[in-house]
Amino acid sequence: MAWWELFPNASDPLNLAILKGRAFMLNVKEISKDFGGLRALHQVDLVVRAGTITALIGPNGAGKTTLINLISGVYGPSEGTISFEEKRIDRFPPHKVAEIGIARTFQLTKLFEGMSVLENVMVGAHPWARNSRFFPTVLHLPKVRCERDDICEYAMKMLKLIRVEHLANAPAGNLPHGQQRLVELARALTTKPKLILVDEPAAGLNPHEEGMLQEALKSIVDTGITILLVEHHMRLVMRISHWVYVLDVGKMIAHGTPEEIGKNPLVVKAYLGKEY
Amino acid sequence: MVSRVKRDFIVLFVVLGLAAVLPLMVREIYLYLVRLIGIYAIMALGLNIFMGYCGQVNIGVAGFFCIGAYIPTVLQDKLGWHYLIAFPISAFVSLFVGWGMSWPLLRLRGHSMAIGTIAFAMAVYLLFERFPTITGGSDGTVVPAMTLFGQTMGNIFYYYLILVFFAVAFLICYFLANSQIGLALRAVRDNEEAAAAMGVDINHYKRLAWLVNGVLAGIAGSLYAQQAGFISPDTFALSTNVLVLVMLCVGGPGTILGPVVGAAIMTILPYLLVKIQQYTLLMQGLVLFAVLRFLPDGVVGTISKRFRST
Repeated sequence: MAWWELFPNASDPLNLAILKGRAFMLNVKEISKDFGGLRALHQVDLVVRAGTITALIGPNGAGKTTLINLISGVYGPSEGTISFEEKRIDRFPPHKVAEIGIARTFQLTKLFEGMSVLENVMVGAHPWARNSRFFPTVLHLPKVRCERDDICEYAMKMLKLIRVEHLANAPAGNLPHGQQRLVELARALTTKPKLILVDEPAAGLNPHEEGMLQEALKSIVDTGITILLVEHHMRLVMRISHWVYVLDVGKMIAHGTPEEIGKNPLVVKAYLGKEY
Repeated sequence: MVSRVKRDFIVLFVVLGLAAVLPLMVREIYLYLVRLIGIYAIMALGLNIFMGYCGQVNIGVAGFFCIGAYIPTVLQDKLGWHYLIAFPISAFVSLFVGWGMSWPLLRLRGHSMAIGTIAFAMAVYLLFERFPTITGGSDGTVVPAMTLFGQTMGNIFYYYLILVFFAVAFLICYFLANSQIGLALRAVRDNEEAAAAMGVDINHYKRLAWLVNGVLAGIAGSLYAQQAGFISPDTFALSTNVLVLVMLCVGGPGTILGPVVGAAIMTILPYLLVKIQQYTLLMQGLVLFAVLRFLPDGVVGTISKRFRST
């Protein structure tokens, strides 16, 4: 099913999602965030529907990363609520958010530099590695060993999905920037997330790496995982996202299909410039 | 991966087997050295989990070492309890003290954490020094010899006791380091924010590593007091903190064998240089400097890196 079949009536996405049986996965309601006297986000609403790629765009300093950090629990909102599958998550610490199925990548890649790529990705298995408690581990029980093999296998599977399995034993700190981003994506996938927050994945990538990234994002959505994509890179957003939100100076100024957004005069003025 | 574990196990059992027959072959002075190495290795192994794997700073291991040494001594001396009962109790006391101290100390980072842990060690040291009627104060106290089945236990018994606890400590650290927990600890070391985003509860893992560190140092303290026969607060002053830290840095933080090798090197060194005894501290400093300058990953860390790259 193509995106235009999902959203024939673009001006009313919320009702439409219910009509089409696409449940809200993430529901951000009237969220505000103050840093001291600075209001970084003001009354922002955002909805992510299950199984889609939703993009969040906006100029530098618009508050995109702040919103991602609020959703992933790095800090709590000043006002408003965030719910994930009808459960309030706005007071959850980051590791709880990861446990209920929201994974993320970082704008500036944050790999564990002292570890190999495979080990990096294996850390992602943490939310579901239930047998690896202290005492079973110390006693080296068979269930821990089995789980460790499972984790290893799953991590390799995710590296294959992103097509970077040849890097498995390389030290993560020495990788070129583009590959670090892909490994970070694989690591986020290993948490078995329902929703994955991707923060500016195309920043600093060359065209070839960008193509790989696009393929990777498509493979992710094909496996049934929802994506919230924060991106500067309009070409990528226009090509793959189903729905686009535009943030400017802490306010949500528009949302719609990529085509609508491309034509919206407000958006063009705030962000795109006349050439687009 | 399985074959690597098997190889490590074979090596470990060969080493332990050799150590087990050692008392038949060598003189007491060498056994004394091996006992000391074992005790320091237990401490350095615990410190390695907290510093090498979890990436935190602890310059207060002597605090736990002190608790582990004094609690069983006082229980034996004043209450007449048996060592084998007082010993586990001291390990539990280390656990509880560590758990209590984890709330203030683990909120700190970097330099302030270093200062905080030193303060903890000094507080414990002063606490034991200030109650001379119970602990013997700054004059120290004699540790009652342990009896078993009506016989007084000698150095050979303590040798095997230390060997057993060393083996247990080593296996615990080995399994921890090679497990999902080890990965989580290293994730916390490398990048806390990313670790939290992967579902790793940072405080939980820091506390876990801190408690492993504390309990192992406590156990080392109990073993030390009993085999030395005499303890005074000076044994647990700042120099012990630094010594264990140096052992870890020389051996290689974040490697499994590092703390053991470091403990062996730094324990044997003063005995090799017995002719220039007055310069022992200088030599230790030079060794530390040389290791940090030429082998920044420690002896074991550098060697294993060489192996991997060739």
